[in-house]
Amino acid sequence: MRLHERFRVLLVLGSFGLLSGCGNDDDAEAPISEVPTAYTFERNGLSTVDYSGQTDRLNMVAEIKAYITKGDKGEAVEASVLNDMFANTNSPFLSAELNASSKKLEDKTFVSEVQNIKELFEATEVASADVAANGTVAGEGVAGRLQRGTTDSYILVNELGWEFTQFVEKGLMGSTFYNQIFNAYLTDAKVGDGVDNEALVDGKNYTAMEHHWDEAFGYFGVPVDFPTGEPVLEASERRFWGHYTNNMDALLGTNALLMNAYLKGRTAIVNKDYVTRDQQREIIYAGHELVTAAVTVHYINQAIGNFNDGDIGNAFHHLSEAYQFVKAIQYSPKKKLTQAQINDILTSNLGEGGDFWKATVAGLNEARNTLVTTYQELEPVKDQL
Amino acid sequence: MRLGEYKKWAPVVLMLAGMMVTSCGEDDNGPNAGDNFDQKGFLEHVGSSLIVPAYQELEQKSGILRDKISSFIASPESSTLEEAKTALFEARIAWQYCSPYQFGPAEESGLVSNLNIFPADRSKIERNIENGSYNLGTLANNDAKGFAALEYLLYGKDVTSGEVIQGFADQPQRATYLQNVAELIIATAAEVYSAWSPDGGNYLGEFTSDGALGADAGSSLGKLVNALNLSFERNTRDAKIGIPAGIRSLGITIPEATEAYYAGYSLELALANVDAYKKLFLGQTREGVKGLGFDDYLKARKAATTSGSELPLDEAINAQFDAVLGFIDQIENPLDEQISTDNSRVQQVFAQMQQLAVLLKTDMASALGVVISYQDNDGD
Repeated sequence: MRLHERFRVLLVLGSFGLLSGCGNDDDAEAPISEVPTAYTFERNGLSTVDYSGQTDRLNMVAEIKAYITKGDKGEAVEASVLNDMFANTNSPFLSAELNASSKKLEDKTFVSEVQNIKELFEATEVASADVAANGTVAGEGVAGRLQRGTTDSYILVNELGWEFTQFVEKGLMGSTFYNQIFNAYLTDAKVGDGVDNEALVDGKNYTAMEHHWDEAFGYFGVPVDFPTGEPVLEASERRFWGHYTNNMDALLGTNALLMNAYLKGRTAIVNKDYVTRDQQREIIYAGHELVTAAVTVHYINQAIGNFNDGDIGNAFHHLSEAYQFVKAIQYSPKKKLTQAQINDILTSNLGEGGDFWKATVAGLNEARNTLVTTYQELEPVKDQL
Repeated sequence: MRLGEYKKWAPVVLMLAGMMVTSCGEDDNGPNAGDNFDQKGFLEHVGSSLIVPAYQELEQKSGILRDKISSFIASPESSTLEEAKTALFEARIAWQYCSPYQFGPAEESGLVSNLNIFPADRSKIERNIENGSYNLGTLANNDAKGFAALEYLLYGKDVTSGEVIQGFADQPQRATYLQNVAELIIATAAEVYSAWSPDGGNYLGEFTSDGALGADAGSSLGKLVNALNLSFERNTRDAKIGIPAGIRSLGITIPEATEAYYAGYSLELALANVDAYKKLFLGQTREGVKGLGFDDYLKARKAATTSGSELPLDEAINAQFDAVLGFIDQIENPLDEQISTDNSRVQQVFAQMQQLAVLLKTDMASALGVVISYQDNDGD
């Protein structure tokens, strides 16, 4: 590993005080004088960025969603397939690349949620089989399908009106993606001062601290040129947190807020400017949380509209989204919303005991007020969200 | 823009600014200037002469409805039943004139969900009465309350008035249910009227404030245009006509989904409703007194149709309102029988409503610079 040895030497030189830093193109440890506009970082002309493991997991959730959606279409869905996808066993994916990947979702999911997700899989199997055999329509206390408005699109829900597709997809966006960003990669244990930012990881072109930051960015799931591409997101990129961040951008400027923070923080790590790194960490926590709260208000607004249309299918679809988005906030250790407030929204405001059939407009307004009061940025745009 | 560039363009910018000042100096209407239309005057007229009176009327008629139902419960006989039915009809007509204004207080109070979800779910109503325990505020009970539920209870399905009256006598909790539904209607109507009223929450003041001028999503014009389009598409075109006629229900006709299936006056309600939109468009009060309306706004903008019609947009829309009303007039009451016997005439009404929806949603909204922000589905 000749290259590797060379980096070691450079690192030693660098640690003597970046003396040779400026103006020397060959110096891999040169500080970056300007924050780049795209998420590309190099050392000696080679990229130092790799978050393929995160991209794999985003793709896994996409396949899980695609499979579970069959239930919405009236087909039977098997829990064993979903469990295999969750644990990446028995080559469950359509993509051979994912089947070959060493990554899986299950071990990165917030511990207490793993069992809930598996129970959702089981319930999906039972409800979808019933619908496939009997065409069961959902009702109070009865799992089944509901039509969305007057369209030919349906949702499969449990006995409380929870849409399985949304509960699984959005649930994993919180309990896996956010959990990993918030409770793993952006913590002191992964990017704090004690983490190695001098030596390159064995056989790699990055330091441990650089890599951890990149892994957090990987779960954000946006293209490296975000948000300057035309279009900002290609159709295939319109998913997960990048998609929702982009959706909230017109009203809240969330694209630049988050992207700049990821870029500045990563640049600061290269420059060993840990004050800036920590400032950007705070911005990222708050930025993701703001997006999530804004999306929740958006779906609550939609649900209130559906109430007034007498459109239960769309109301439950939107309540399912709202439920999982507000729940995702709980994974942030720095959240502004208290756990008690989140619980109140989940178990009371969106329907007593989380039962959407028991939801009231008054309860939805209460949830909306809690969010808008907690996140002042939402107040002026609350009706437009 | 670098400073050097700015300097280069500065004289041009100043010149353009000067031209704008002279061109609209006489009649500057704030953010939406560029035409001679008095947007603030328009909003004040629509707010204080159409919207607030509509909600006031709804509160008044809902109060009478509650009282007449109480009288009927106190002495269940055919005269009190007939009076309750009349009060129900009048409250429902009053509602039709509020239907275009489902934003702000109406949306926050869930007005439609408490008043006018139809068709009512008969078996759910009977189950609730049987159980005696229910929360009318829940989503699950959306179709077990409101005018449609009162109609079902007062008219019954395939029964005589005498049997209806006997039903209340036999089942005290039936009377309680009837009263609870009527109470929720008046409570919600009162809440919305009070929120709009200058003596109450004064949403009227917010609606007509300078800060709410313009055409942005948060502006009063933006809210009004979005709300009237959304309500016209879903509550008028789809719910009153499209769904019962099978056009918005996957080809299956559902005569029982008509607005007044048991009472048989769905067409009167539809006519009043379209009239409400037309009056809003023309800035006319219920009595027909004309003030600033969308038609004047479109005239000021010299708006044309996108379909290339000879008529300017304001006249094209006015003519299309008349076409819709004319086609509804061609249908025989009750609507459910018309659907069962000759659905093609109902489908024609839908087609005319669809044309009107396009004019209002595409042509009018874009002529006014309003972005339609609601979607049918999120697509995810």
